[in-house]
Amino acid sequence: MRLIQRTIRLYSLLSFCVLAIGIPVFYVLLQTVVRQEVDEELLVNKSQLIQRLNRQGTDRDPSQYNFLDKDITIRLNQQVQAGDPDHFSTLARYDSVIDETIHMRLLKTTAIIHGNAYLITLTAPMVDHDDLIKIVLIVQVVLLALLFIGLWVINKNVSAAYLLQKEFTENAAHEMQTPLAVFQSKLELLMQTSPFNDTQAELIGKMADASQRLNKLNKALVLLMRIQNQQFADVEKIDVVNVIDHLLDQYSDAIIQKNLTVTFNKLSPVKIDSNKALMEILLGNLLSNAIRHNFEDGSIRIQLFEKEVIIENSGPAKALNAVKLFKRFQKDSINQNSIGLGLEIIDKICTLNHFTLKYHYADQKHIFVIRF
Amino acid sequence: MKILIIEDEIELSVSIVTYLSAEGYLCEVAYTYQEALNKTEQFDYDCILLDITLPGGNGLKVLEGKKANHTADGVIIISAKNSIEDRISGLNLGADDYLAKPFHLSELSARIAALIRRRRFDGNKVIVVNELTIDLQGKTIHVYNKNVDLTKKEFDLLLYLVSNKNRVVSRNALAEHLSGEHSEAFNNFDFIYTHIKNVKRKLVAAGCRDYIRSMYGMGYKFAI
Repeated sequence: MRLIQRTIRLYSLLSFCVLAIGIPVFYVLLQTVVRQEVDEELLVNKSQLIQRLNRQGTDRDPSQYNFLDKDITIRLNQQVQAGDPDHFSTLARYDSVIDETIHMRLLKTTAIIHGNAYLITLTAPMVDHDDLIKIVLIVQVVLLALLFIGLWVINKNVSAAYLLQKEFTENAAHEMQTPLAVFQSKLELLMQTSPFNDTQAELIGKMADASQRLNKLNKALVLLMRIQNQQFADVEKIDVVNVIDHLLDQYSDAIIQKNLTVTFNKLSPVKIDSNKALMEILLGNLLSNAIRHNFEDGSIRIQLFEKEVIIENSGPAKALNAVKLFKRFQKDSINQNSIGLGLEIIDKICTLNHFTLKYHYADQKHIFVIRF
Repeated sequence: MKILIIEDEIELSVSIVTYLSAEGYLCEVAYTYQEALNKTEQFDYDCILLDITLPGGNGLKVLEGKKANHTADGVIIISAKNSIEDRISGLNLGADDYLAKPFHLSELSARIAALIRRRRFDGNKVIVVNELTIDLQGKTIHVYNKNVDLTKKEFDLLLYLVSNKNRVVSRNALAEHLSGEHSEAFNNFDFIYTHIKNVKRKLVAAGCRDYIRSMYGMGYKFAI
């Protein structure tokens, strides 16, 4: 749900930005296009007018056009030269009939007709500024409204589907716990009915291992759901050095068993604001991975900086696929105790805390870096 | 020792009753909130196992009623929810322990035994098995009154097996009990084997009989 709200918020923000820039740009563009069209029309009118004036006889005064067409004024002006350039301008004129100020485009040009120099002024009305702005705004607002209605309709369906799916995953994970508990308890009771022969005992043992794996898988899924539902809201100052020290103590058995050399460089005291349980899960998962995917007599190096923790471990001499690594159920096929959700949990916790998580392989070491 | 099992999942409560009865506990069951209220109001129990989600009401309300009546039964919450809020509100309402479903019956049994021992008034914090004495307060082991030096993990392992004596304890239950959430770090069960081997060696060296049996393919058993 949060993600969808975020999407809507971002989408609205983006729409308003696009509109804020779009409306003036659209307006200026439209105005330019209209002006160019009107100017072209004026130029065409001008050349037609001059042709007509030249064709008619010398006895007729060209200025009679002033009375025939209110958009044309022709005045005898001996000062002008034949080569004077055309001059365009815009002027506002009040029209008392429609009670509105109309913007006109004005072309001043010169022509030599029958040896006399004339100053010719042609005008053409432009679409009014106010009308233009109004139309632009109305079109844009209608478009925006249509887009928002569309988004809202799509969202309603999507969020319903999303809620339904989330609810299903949540319920499925929870409901699975009871039959799992029943199954596991019956297996334990079955174990009490010994003696068994070796084949039977082995079968029962393998079933118990499988049910344990199911439990872990289920617990991990429930944890993922709870991280996604932001159910770890309590934030406190956490001493990362303490957390790592505590975890290393907890894992001491596993470290001793593999005879690993662990170095922990506390280069800076680090306190961060986060949820304690989540931080423990995050660093715990990284450390247990570093132990589990290590080999006998291998090494683990933890370096803690003010804004960064680097955990590197020896392990299989092959870089992991950094792209697929943090996706659900990506795991190496050899390890029986791995359920393939650990790295996704790490990834989700990092996302929630706005940490960046990176993996690379260098000097035969698998290196995970978290920036706080 | 009387135990009330408040659990609406019939098959699970049957399992619990079967396992605990064999340990010598007297078990009663309640499947609904109302039954639970009636039983807790009328009788005293040494331990109550309480599921939170019950037909007819929230199991935590049973705790509230119990607290109001000043009854002193020990309570272990068994819940599928496993949320920190539930855990805290349960413990605040006077529950003594919290066990998330699904759990191992051996773990449940060990917790019940520990709870009953903790609440015993005579202050008897010692378990005696023939020549073997486990001092729970000092966390020490004696064989024929001679101290045997065990690590904390080895002590926990021995106590867990003794709490489930004559039962097969699965290697998964042992792994979870010993390393809790951290069993992920192990590739296999070798670490349990190492601990078991050490405990056996130390006990036998002190003259104790070799009570711990390996149950092929399944786990271990402390057999008397």
